[in-house]
Amino acid sequence: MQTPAGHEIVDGQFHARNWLEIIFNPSFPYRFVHMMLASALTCAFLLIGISAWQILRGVATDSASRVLRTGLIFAALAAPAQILAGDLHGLNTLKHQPQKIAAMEGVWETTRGAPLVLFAIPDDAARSNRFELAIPKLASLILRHDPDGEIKGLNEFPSAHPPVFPVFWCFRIMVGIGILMLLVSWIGLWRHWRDGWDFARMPRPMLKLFAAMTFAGWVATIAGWYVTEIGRQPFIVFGLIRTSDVASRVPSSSVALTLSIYIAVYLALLVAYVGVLKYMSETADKGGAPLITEGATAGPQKHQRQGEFA
Amino acid sequence: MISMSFDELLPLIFIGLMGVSLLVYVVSDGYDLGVGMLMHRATPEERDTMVASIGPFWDANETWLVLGVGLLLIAFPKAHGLVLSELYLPTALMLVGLILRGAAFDFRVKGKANRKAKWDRLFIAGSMLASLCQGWMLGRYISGFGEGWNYPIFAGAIAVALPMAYALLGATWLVMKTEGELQDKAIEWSKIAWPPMVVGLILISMATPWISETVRVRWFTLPAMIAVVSIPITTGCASGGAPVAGVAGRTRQPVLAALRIAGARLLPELPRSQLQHLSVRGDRQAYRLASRQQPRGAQNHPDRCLRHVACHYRLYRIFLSRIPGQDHRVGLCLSGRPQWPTLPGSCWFTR
Repeated sequence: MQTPAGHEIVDGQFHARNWLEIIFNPSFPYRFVHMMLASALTCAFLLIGISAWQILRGVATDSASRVLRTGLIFAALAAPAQILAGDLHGLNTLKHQPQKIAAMEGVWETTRGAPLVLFAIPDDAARSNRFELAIPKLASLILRHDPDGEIKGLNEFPSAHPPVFPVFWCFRIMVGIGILMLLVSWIGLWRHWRDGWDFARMPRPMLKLFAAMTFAGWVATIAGWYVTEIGRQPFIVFGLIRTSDVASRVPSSSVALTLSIYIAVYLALLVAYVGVLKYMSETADKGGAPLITEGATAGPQKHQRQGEFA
Repeated sequence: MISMSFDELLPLIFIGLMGVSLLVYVVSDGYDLGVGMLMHRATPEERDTMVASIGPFWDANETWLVLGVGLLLIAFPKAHGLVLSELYLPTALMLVGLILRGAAFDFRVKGKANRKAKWDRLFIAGSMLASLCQGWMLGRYISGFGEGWNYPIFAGAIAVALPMAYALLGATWLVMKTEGELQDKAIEWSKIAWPPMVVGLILISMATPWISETVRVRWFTLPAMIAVVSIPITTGCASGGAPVAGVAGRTRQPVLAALRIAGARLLPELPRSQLQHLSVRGDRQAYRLASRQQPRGAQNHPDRCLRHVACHYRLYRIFLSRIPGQDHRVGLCLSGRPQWPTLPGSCWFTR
């Protein structure tokens, strides 16, 4: 749907011509690697966050330190790999879907030496960015590996480019979290090494930062998913079929109803999930001996809930 | 058939695959949805046992639905668009039910202990919602998405009947998997679920020739009629209390065949392995031993056949027992104790 290949259109219908081409379409390797690394980072930060939370709450067993260390090493390796893979994926997207890149970077007019926009409110009506804060020539450097490289602007694609605001901001959320992940994992690991591989000596703000990033991977993954899927609009199959041409005959009121039901159910389940995860992490110490307790928690209530968990 | 080309054969292959996956789905997820619905009649301890009995299976069971719908999309995209557009809301609600159920299944044991009852309620509600929606979808599908006052009533009836069928499957599953008080309860539950399910089967059997020209031709034209005529007769016998079905030992036929005609949806495996549970309070030990310890190849062991005969005979007696003054000839009963008429709170056919 992003970079369709291996098909032929007969009488307005798509037919598969070559399954290998369909699967191994031009963006497949980039998407695959990018997604796998995203999953790895999501998992690593889940491990990091929960173990840090356990240490903070004084319910950690000796396994928590090992899990935290594993997560940190895992993240420290995956984060730079992900940034590299993301860059390659971006170049691939520039080749096949230049309007998506233009929306991600907030570039309206085709420019040589395009600046990297750090902050802006893209305005679809005025076709320009408001409150722009940018680093000169950096976008061209990143995307063309040349400070004066040309980036095609959105105005080159009249009525065939995605809505700019969500793509622009989701991209910044994803990249921001990615860079944060790199910093947190590297600084965390460095600090851990300086502490003699002992998390009891790790500064509490650092552990709190770890805990705060428990679900960062999910946020980044979903933001990235929005970038690529909203960025494909207005097409459902890029360049070939518009989404509006294949919309369902189901009345829009039904679609609105089910969408709100799904949102409500998933929000409720999300709350329940986080609650259960928190409860599990705080009661997981049955059977294991606590390793880090002194000074880490105020109350001695750590074993109270033992036995409820079965 | 012999000269059929591959292109002509392919849709048949896929319709066969879809039929198989939906069939396996109804039978396999049917029992675990049924167990889920029956949990509202169980004590907290029994609920743990019930969940444990389906624990290793339910997730895989639901995958058959994914396979069925996936095949529909891949092989028959136009039908997929048509059917799922018509069934948009019930499908969405069914998914909500299945989502709630899946989440509750895990969270009930992993969350706080004092929230377990709440998750159990959600599990039960999710099971019911999913089953009701599937029943409604089946009803609408069979009746060709017709417009008019009678169609929603029909779909509504099926929406009740299918969960009952699931509950019956679930109850018989519990009879097989559990012991003691819960097993006794499961026998009672299965008896309660049976009549509405049979009513649903009759409705489906009647509706199908009504709606579908093809089926009507098959049903009411010789010689095909001879092959299918046993379906309404035996279904009628089973539900109307006539002893014919029990005596002939053909209780599997009505359900299986009615189902096949009705789109191969509802409970094909029901009677031989399931209906006997309705009648086998006495030899349920024997059944348990047989089902647990017999090696795979021993399906047709003489003992087992004998047991089936015994079961059907018992069924026959149950039907007879509705007629006042008619005595049960207990002596012929293979495993002894005639406990049927004394069962408390049993459903219509023991009164």
